[in-house]
Amino acid sequence: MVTTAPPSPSRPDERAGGRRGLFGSSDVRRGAGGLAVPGVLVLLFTLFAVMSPQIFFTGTNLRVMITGQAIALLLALAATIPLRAGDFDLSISSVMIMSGVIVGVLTGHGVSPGVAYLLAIASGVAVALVNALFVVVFGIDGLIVTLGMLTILTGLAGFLADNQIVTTIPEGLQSFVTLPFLGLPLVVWIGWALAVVAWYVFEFTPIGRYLLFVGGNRNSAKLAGLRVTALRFGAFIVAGSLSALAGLLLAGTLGSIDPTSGHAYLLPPFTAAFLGASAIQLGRFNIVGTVTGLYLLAVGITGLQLLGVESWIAEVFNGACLIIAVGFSRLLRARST
Amino acid sequence: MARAALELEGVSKTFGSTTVLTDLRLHIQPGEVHGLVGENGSGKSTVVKILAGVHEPDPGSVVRLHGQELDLPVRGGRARGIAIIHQDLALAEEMSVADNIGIGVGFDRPLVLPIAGRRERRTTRALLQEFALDVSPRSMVGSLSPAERAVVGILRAMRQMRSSRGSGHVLVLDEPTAALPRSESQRLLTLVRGLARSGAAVLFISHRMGEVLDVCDRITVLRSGHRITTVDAAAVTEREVVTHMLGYELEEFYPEKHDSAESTVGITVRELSGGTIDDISFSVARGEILGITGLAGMGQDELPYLIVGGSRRTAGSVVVGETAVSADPWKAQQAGVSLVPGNRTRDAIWVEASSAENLTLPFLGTFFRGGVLRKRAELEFAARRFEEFDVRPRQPGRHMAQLSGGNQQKVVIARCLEQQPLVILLHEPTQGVDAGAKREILGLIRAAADNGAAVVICSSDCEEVAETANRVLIMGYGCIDDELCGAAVTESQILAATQRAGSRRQSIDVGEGHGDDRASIAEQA
Repeated sequence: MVTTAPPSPSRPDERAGGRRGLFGSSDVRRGAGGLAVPGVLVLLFTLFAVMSPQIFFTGTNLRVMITGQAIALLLALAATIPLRAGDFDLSISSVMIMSGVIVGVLTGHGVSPGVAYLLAIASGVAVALVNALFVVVFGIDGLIVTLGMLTILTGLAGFLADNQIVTTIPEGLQSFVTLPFLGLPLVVWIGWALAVVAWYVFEFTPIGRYLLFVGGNRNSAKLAGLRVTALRFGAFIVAGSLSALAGLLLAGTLGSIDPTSGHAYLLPPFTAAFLGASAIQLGRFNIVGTVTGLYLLAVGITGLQLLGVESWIAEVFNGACLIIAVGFSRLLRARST
Repeated sequence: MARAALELEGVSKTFGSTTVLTDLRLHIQPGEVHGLVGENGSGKSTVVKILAGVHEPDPGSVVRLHGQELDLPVRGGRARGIAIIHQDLALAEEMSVADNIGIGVGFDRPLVLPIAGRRERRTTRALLQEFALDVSPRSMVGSLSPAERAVVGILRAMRQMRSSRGSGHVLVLDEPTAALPRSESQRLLTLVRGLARSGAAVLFISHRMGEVLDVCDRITVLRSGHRITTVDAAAVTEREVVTHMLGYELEEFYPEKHDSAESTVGITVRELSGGTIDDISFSVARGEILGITGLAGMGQDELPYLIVGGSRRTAGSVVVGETAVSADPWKAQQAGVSLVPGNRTRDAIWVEASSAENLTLPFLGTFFRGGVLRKRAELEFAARRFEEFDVRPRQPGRHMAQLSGGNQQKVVIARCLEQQPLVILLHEPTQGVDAGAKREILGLIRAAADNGAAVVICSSDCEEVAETANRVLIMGYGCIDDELCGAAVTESQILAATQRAGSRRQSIDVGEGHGDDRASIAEQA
């Protein structure tokens, strides 16, 4: 080492202190900017609570809002995991519908529920493997592959269901999913539990960091000795399984599956994930951000609807938030580097 | 003395509480090549960014062009006759030389009219002839050598400047030779002198001290944002300039070279092929430093990636110690091979992660204890390593993007050495790194070899290879052309051998084969 140090423009030895928080202390992107999305969530919530105390700010409405987002939460997790590794999986909503249809159709044909659940989940894994094969092994643009897969699966779901609404959902599944626990149906708790697991993996295990590097700079990750192919395959498979699970829960919640209902679930998970990447840890897809983003969307849309805006607002709000979220995080990143 | 083409007076730049440039005074006369040198982080790039209008200097700063004060931040510099050429030339590889040069002036045509192709080629040909570049206007830029591309980049700027309203021209060259092997950079330097003779004022920024002394009339030395001195290039030695840059005397530029090779073999490469590499075999003993060099595109730039499996291996095997390692970077790492890639931002780091996160990536598992990633332990570890490796700034939570190139490279080297690899593969380990850091990095590599690592340095810097390697392989068209050992490892012998290797194929089969090589070289570059 050189002992005589040349002068340096930076102030010496200003050590990063042991700031401890939700994310440990090593994250570089935790500035005031990261609090914008949570801030907007709190702001909107307060605003609607004040403007509509009799309808919006009631236990019933909160319960309805949270329950209504239970399935979307699973899909948002499914979207966030490959995104963290740098891959899009647009097919998740169609995997969900297909999985629900498979459960219903198999049950209708007298297959035992347990086998039907397994096959439904297996279909999600199979789709994920095909996605990953084309994207990771053949190197085709993930947006294109999974968009194609989305279209294929939507068609297949219609074929399997004979373009009818499938109503043969096992009774056991319906009563399990809607079983109330501490005032909320079990499906909500399942979503939250899985979110906690994903949060733990992302923030407190090396795998979370590896996924982040693979998404950040795939070349560097590969040459540094990370198992990039395995990590990307894994992300796709977990996303596929989560989406298939979401299909089971959706079938159980509704008691039926409409094979054409997938499009309503297409965009919100990605909007939530991108809002999340501009929240808490800027430029990083993270679970707390995704969950915050998801509830921001729910609060915004529910609030506006309760104030009398028609239901078209849901799609406008979703789309606008997606564009704003991506633009906003771009802006913050440009400023921070 | 005539009125200066470009004058900077009292130019300062502050970011928050950090001053990166203090009260800079810089005058460049028409016809002068003015060198700007300093360590990484000394403020050179800030000067370039101020001239490019990227940064607005602090109030009170004055920039004059031919005596006329410019509004700050600098706007429309190009139209006023300031051209800035960055190391990344921003050329379109799939387009012809004429297109690349013409696009800078919109082909001198209104937007909706077709391009006058013949006239464009004529104009381009005239420019090419003027600067003695022997390529056709129709050639694809992708098929040119790195030096030829650099010249095309400069010619584009020339044409832009000539069509501008400005009287004389100011050309800022930011590390124009950094990506060029020394043999090719000479052509570029000749062009730079030619530009100056034709009346342009040139600001020349480079880490290569020899070139700066060769090509410049005067040299301004920056250190920590201050102008230390401006000297006549003819009146100083390289050592004096480096001493000004560092602020202390660098005793020995290179670590002491000695033969510490042991009898055990660290890595054996057998009949390896892939990309332009064709059937290469060699082995490196533990404790030995093997240099691999050659002219641009001869394969030495691909070899390290081929060995670890980062690029496709078509034949051959790699054996580390006793075990064969398949073509997978993860398996190579498990076997004890550590790679330091040449293109840092593309292949080695992620600039949006913190420096600590970049440091610990391959061995992050050691901080995973009791089911939780111990981030505080990770930060403390990083702080200790940054102290040891003199990485600045020391804060391990800092963004990698906020570190200068030399400090980023130290993080990558620290990461490599931390794994105590049996085999260290380095690709251009000191490219874009200042003199002080370069010496430190080479010292660390030497120390790792002394501790029993087998080291391979793939570099186009003949001087560096000569000063550090115990044995040198010369690459020629994907094969090992020559081997130099012991006393034969000198810069001049290596240079001569690389030239021989480069000319060999040409003399055998001129024409088609040569053209193909050019194309494949361009592909990988």
